[in-house]
Amino acid sequence: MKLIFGICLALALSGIARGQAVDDPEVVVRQIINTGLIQGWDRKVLLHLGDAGAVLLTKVLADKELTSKTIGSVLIVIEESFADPSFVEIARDRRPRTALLVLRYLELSTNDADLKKHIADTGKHVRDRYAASLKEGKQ
Amino acid sequence: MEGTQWRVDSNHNSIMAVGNGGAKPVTAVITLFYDQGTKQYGMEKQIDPDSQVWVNFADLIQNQIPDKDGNVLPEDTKSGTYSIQVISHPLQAVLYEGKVITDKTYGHATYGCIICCGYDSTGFDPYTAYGSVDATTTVSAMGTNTCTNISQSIDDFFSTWWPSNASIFTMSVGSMTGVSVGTGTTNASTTTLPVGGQGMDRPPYCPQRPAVNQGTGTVQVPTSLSVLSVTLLPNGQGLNFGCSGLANYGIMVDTKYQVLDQNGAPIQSANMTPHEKGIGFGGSPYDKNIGPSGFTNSTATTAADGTFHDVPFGVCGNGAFTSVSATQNITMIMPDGSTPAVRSQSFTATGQSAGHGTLKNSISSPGTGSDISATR
Repeated sequence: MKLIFGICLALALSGIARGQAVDDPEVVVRQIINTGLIQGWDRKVLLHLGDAGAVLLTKVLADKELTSKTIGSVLIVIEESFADPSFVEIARDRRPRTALLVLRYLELSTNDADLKKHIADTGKHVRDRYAASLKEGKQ
Repeated sequence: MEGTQWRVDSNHNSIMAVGNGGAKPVTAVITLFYDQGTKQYGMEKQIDPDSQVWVNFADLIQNQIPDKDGNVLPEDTKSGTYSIQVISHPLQAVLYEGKVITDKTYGHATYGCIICCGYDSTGFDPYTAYGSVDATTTVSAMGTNTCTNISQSIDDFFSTWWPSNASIFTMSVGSMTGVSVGTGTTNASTTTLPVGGQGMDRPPYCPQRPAVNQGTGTVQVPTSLSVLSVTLLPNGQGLNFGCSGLANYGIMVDTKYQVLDQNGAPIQSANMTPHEKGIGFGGSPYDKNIGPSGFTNSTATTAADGTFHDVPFGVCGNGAFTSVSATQNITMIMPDGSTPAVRSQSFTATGQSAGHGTLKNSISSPGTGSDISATR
């Protein structure tokens, strides 16, 4: 009985693992952070995340050292997650709360002037896109 | 039917008869045009088989009889033209009409022609019909009205419709439905197509003749893709842009594909959903529909002409990279749930300096070669 239960559990977990491997937002975010590359396929996934993309970043970054390259990759994820908040399915994720918190954290984590400017620009982009989506939603 | 002139004044009157020489009742709209054709007066008339309706133009004017829309002919109306249009369905109408203008002063009468209106059969539209498995495609038997010279569907006259091979497609009045992939002939016949007044034929003996239509029907299956265009996406933040300033190494493009069938002919259908599966440039698998991606020209299904955009496609990085590879297997999800494969290809991308990148494909199925190459 225990053996059968063990086999079922292993199959279930392997199924979850397989499900996570294909188009799983966390896998997409982790890959961007690890490689510094963003693909067309990734953009189609991030487009629907909004603030959930920033929440995933907090999970992925938990065990990461914040190098300049990593910070650059984080900015890519946030930028693409807020490319157009009207595509974000979960309404509360259209508002950048965790995203702005992550950006504030990044700002405090670097002294690189260029990087600080990129962080500020990304924050402005996110706020602008959210404001634009609110305006479009009212029309 | 296009009639000629009618005339009503203190010396003349016009009387018109419209008869039904067919076997079924029809509804016709008789429209009088007056004031040099700028105004019209319409009457809807039900005409039983072997019956006629009579229109006395002077009565309409003098008694101020309203038409179907409540309009009346002005009392000073003196002349105009008329037309007769069948609006009932089925179309099986064999109408004839005649008219006489009487001269009340001199007792002279001018007779208009009495003719049968029929059709010259002109075959199927489209002559070559395309469809897919389980999908129904319109195939119309067309004819030119001998009175109006207008081309129109005359499906209702054709009672028998059949395919050359029912294992490829079936036929019913005005349509074919795909069963399996292949090509056959489309056929329809009638023994009673009204062909209009000819020779000694005169109402109420309007002539009818047999007619047979034949065309071609092909049931298509998506088999390959052709690349119609590869457009470099401009730099910028947000949707409809390629690489942003944060990831300025590499390249992204918009590739427009056309879905082709087993014979290399375009499949003009909006019911196919492009799907992709493979290993991305970052090494992870993906498995998703190609659209919609949020880009304005990206849609879940193909356009009516069987084209679709794969956009954004490519890879951008926040630092230089020499060469990365990806695979892409594209299938079409069809309305019947089948998923025929249309292309397998691999891509190689580079992004060796800021603002630059390259992208090139290598097809592995069907066939081989490369038809996507872009440089930024």
